[in-house]
Amino acid sequence: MAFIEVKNIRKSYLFGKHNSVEILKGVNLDIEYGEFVALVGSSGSGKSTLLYIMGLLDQANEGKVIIHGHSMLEMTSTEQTNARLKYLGYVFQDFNLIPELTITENLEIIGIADSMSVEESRSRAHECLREVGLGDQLSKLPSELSGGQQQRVSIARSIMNKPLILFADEPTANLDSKNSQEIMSLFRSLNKKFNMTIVMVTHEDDFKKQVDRVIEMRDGVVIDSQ
Amino acid sequence: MNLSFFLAIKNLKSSIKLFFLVVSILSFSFINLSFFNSLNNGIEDVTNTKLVDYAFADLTIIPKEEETFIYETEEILKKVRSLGSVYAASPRLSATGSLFDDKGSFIPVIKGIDINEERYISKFHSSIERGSYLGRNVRDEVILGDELVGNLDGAKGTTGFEPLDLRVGQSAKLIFDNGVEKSYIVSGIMDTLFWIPDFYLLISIDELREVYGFNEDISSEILIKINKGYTKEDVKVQVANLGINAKVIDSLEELSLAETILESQKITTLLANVIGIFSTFIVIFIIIYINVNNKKKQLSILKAVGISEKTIIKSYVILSLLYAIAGIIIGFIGFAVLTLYLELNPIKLPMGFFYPQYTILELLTSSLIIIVSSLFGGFFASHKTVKKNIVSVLRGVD
Repeated sequence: MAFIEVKNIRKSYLFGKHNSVEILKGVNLDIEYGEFVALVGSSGSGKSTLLYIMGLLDQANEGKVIIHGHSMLEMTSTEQTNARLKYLGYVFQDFNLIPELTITENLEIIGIADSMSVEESRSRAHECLREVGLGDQLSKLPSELSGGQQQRVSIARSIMNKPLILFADEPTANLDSKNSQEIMSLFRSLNKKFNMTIVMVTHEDDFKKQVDRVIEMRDGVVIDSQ
Repeated sequence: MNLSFFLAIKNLKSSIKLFFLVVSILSFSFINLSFFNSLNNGIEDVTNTKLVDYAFADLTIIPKEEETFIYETEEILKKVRSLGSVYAASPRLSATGSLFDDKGSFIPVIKGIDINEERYISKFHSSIERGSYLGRNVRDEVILGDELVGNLDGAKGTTGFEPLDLRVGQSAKLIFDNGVEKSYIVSGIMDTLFWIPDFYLLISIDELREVYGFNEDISSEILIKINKGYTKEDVKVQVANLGINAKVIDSLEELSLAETILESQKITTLLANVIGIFSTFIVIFIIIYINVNNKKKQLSILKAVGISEKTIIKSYVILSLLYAIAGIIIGFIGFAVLTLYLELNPIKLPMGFFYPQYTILELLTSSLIIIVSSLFGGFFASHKTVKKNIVSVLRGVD
């Protein structure tokens, strides 16, 4: 049994009152524990939608996502929120940091939500920020940092709760090649150091060689997962 | 630290202008709720005072239900005046008739009074605007309320009736309802600043008894003024225990006249309060909704990283509570300044000077209304936004 099992996932979006378009047409997929996989495919192939469904940020119309033997899509909304807090981490294309919070506070709130004391949470936040090379920027607001640094904060936030799986949606799309390479190295390092399972959506060919496996999608189905 | 409180404080700090806007609106709502009530209380108080000063005194002895008059007036007066708790007691005899000038007539409320004793239970004697009060044992003079003859400046009375053209020193013809016709000299014109006694025609009770052929034991009512340090309830019991052949009432309480007079105003205030509560709720709802909606992406990020909807909603409820507390504090300061100003510069109404009056309970009620409206507004607005789909919001399609 694989660590992540995706079984016959279907997803449609409604356009207007009556028109719908099927984005995922019965996706099946297995990902092993500690694996670093890249989801690739042309625009509209459904890779981001699949990532969001696996990451419990969106609902499927049909199918199952089983993580470590637990059927995730059948959980209640509260259980899914709790699972996101405790076991999953996210890195988004446009960083999605809370602008009015300092970068430490952006991380700290996750620790507090996970029942840590303020001191424990702050200490863990500093640890994570140092891990991504931002130990000297702790009290800055996101707007005071460069794009590459903000994405590092986003990665630090994603590992704050020591997740089992990290989902990244085109994390380098808004970065220059130097920063992109640094972010990829960071992912690789996290994967090796913590044996963290990483599922990353990307459209950059250069990164295909840096992951354990490439899963290619086209028109809502997986066409190659070897 | 509680995460909801932490998020609420951060939210507040990040939108300080919005904070001041909301707090201003809530403080005005607080002033609106409290001030209308205190004005109403002030008007009710001045109305009650006027009723006590001119119409009822502290307690009134009236005929038993099946009777028109009190038939043992002298006996009752003797007994009542013997009570240590009673400052004064004076009889009145009521009648109706028509008062004439050269051009027309008017129907006043005729009150026969004991000229000497009346000054201890009412304030007619100190309300003479023109001329003078009735002299001792004078029976051919009358006092007219200024609703009957117009105000000093010649304007019509507050009720809009066309006043008679009668002046101090003139003779006025009066036809009583038993058909007796007599002329009286206008001794004085009084302005009590209250429309009920300003329709009175005051005349000697002895004269009125003679007109109707009554002996000195007949009266319509006996008004009692009580000594300081006694309560109306206690004196009422004492008078009732005298074994008199009449009924003693606290007119203010039993007739609820002031309440009746103010009823429409109270309904208006109640409506204003209901609208106030509703608008407070709507304002808070809209402001929190706009605030939450502007931050829907941040909310979705919080949800995405595993912060529960409950924590997020709670943070906005706490934020609303902070808005409400600040609004109440600022509103109370505004209310206190306004009240103090009006205490120093009372408003002159047709019934006299009045200033706002309030109780701590009323202020607490206004505070509670603001708090509850804010909490509901904050809850519903954040609840509505927090339910949106995370991905749709993050992708900017909602």
